[in-house]
Parts: sequence; structure tokens; C-alpha cells
Amino acid sequence: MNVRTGPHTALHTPYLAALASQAEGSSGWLACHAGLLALRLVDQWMGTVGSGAAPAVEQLDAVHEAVDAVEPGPLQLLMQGVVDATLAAWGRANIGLGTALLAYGRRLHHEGAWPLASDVYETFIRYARMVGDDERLPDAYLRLGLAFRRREDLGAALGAYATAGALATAVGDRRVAWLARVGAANVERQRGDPDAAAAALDAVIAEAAPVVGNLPGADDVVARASHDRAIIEIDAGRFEDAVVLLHRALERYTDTRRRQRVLHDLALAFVELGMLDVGRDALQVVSATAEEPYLRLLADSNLMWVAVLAGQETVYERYRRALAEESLTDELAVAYATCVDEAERRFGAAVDIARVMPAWDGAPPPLVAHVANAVREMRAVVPVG
Amino acid sequence: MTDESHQLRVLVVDDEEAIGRALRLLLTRAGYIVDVVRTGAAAEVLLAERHFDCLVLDYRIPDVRGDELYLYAVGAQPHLRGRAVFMTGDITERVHATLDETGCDRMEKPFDVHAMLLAIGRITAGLRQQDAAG
Repeated sequence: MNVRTGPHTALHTPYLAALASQAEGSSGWLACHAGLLALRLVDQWMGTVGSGAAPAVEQLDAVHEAVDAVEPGPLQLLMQGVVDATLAAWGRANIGLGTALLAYGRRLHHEGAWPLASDVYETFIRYARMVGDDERLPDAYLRLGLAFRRREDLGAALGAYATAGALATAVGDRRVAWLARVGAANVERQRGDPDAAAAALDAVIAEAAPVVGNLPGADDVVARASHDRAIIEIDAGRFEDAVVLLHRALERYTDTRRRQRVLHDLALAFVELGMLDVGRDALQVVSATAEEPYLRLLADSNLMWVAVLAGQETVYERYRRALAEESLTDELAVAYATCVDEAERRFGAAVDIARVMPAWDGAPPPLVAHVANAVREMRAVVPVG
Repeated sequence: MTDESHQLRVLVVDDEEAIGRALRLLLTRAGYIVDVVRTGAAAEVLLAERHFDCLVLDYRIPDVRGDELYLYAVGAQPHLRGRAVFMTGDITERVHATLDETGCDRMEKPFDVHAMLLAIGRITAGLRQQDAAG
């Protein structure tokens, strides 16, 4: 394996910022501390490949002690995996270390620790460039783009997506090249240019749709691009168009987590169109089955909203009390406050309590039937009480 | 009606539908409970929900490489360490070296179904014995 030289150290600012924001000794702080020491060990490994200089005993003790102090669970095991792979590879280039870094980054990513995930992915990229593990670089830049986007670092996200696209195109990986364009389109939407985003997503759908079934992953690309395109329609208040796109995404997604997200968005579109019963059914399924805690709470928050729209004060109050016990993100807290404000306005006035949004009768029946099928399918997996 | 409590559960991850179908049939007939998914993301959802006794992983899945998914799975369910069979169409030295590092079996595509059954049987033999003894 050829080893390229390059910068081996990094500041790991996201880890330092996360440490500074938490109480020393808390479980989050301990996990951050151990992760930082593990990444610094990787940095040191990168600096000593070929030289054989061993890590200091004190440093090793500190890393092991820090990882041991982390709450037992997947994150601790994956951090331990990074440390073990680094030590097993000491003084030589090693493939296993890259895999361990990516698996650790993926876990952080799924836990919503976007700044930390971006730091791990950047560490992987420095590692991969050094040891010539070029194969996984496009995907790593794609993940980095998403992590940057989620932490609202939009310029960095665009840069990462551009690199992912260029690398993927160079090796003929059409799936990653398309997904990089989808990611960049989402950055444009976040920057306030929905027209540019819509045009970019339409172009991806037009290219990928004809090869669904022939190219692995093309169905997922079409689903993701359609889902993101639907969000633009929702933002613009064009709910009928959004329903068509969301329906297409629901049909194409094979990943349960993404199906749950699109079902949630489809439910909201139906609610916006006045079809409260269809929307409520779908939201109840998402609330009962969603693997992501955030999505479950989001569904509950929207069920509370539907109860307000339907004039069901008792149902509204049940959701309100349950959500009041939860730790809500800023976004959910704003939604909660808005809903409570509206509920007080409506239920506080004796006249308007029974107000229900007018029924929308323009939904093409197959779409409604498809949503009903999806709801039944998901109910079968986890029955809703 | 089958008593599922004594059956071992295998997770198969392959984006090729035909291979997934064939493995489901083969392993179900051999007495396993089988979950088949086509992406790493779908596998991760199942790993968070269900206990698995063995993994059968394609090395090249569109959204994640098999060796990374294996490490992720071990993070989620530590007993899965060493309990995977990788399927690969790659025969490069680098791929072999990567899979060697996992310490797990590998089968080159197209593989002999009996060899696959034997490989899974080796992994789960100890578990069946524990079950019988218990």
C-alpha cells in the first residue's frame, strides 16, 4: 500500500466545542472526551506511519481510561474499535482503521451528533488520502456534506458535495454523483433559492428514473429527489403537487426509516389539504412506529395540531401533556408553543370550538388508497393501540 | 405453528433481489427465521429492533460497504462479532485483506448454496447446542 504524505493533525474544533458546552463528567462529556482522544490517536498514527514511533504509554492509558468511562453501548464499542484498529495498525498503513472510523462516524450521524460526525468524516478523508483508500472517498464526502448541511455550515456543505460529485463522476459512480447533486440542491433550498433547487432535483429525477431497476440504488435516488422536491412544493403551499411527489417517494423507498419520514410528510400534506382523518391515521402510525425519537415527537406534535384543527380539545390536551414531559428540540419547542397558542385562541372562545377545516375533495383516489395501504402495512408491523 | 422462540434469526443484506429471495428460501427451509433487506440503512433499522444470531452481508451494498455495516452491527449487537458471512464478487487482494481483518467467512459470487448453508451452520452450531442444552 502506498502512503502519501500530508497534514496529520487537526484541531477537532467540533469536539472541543461539544466538550465546552457540557458539564464535565456528564455522560455526553465523557463520550466526547473519549472520542477526541481516539481521534488524536488516529492523528498520531497518521504522523508515524513508516517511522514506527510508538505512542507514549501515558497517552495509551489516557485513551483506554477515557473509552472505559463512556456509558456502555454502541458508541463506546465503536470508539473502542477505532482505538483497537489504530493500535493494530501502528507503524503501517491499514485498511481496517478506515472502516472503524466510518462506522463510528455513522453512529454519531444516526444519533444526530452532526458536528462530531463531520469531524470523524474529515479524519477519515485525511486517512483515506494518505493511504490511498480512494474507493470510499466519494461516499465519505457525501456524508460530510450532509453533516455540514445539518450543522448549517452551508458553504462547507456545498464544497463537500461538489468534491463528492467530482470524485464519483471520475470513477463512474452515478449513484453518488446524483446524490451529491440532490445534497447540493438541498443546500440551495436552505439558502433561499427554491427555484434553483427544484430545477436541480428535476434534472436528477429525469436522469435516474429511466434506469430504476437496472442500476443499483437508482430507485433510492429517485425517491430522495422526489421527497426533497415535494418539500419545495409544500413550502410554496402547492400541496396537491407535493402529494404526487411524496407518493412517488413512498413507492420507491426501500428503507423503513425513510418510508416513515415520507409518510409523515404525506400526512402533513393531507392535513394541509383538509383531509384530517387520512392525515391523522398516517401520523398515528408514524408516532407508534418511528425509529427516530425526533420523528416520533414530530408526529405527536402534529397530531396535537390536527386535534386543534379538528376542534378535539380533549385529544389536544392529551398530546399537550405528553409533549410537555419531553425534552424538545428548538424547532419542536417552537411548534409546540405555536400550537398551544392557537389552541388557547380557539378553545378559549366558546363559539369556534367545533371548527374543522373544510374537507378537500380533489385527491385522486389512488393516492388516498396508497396511503391507506401504507398505513395498514405499517400497522401490521407495529399495531397501533 | 412454528415455535419461533427456538429458531435462530439471520439478517441477509444484498441489493440483488434474486440473491435475497434465494437466501430467504434456502435459510427458511433450513429452519432459520430470515430477514432480507437491500440497503445498509434498512439493515441498521432492523439491528436496532431485533436480535440477530448471524449476518449474511454483501460486500458491496449501494449505501454502505459490507465491512463497515458489520462493524456497525457489532456495535449494536456485540454478540455478532465473528458471526457474519460476506458475499463478494470482488477478487482483488485489497478486498480479501479487508475481509480478512473482520475474521469472518466469505463466499465469492456465484456461491454454492450448500457451502453457504455450511458456513452459516458453523457460526450457529454453538448457538443450537446452547439452545439444546438449555
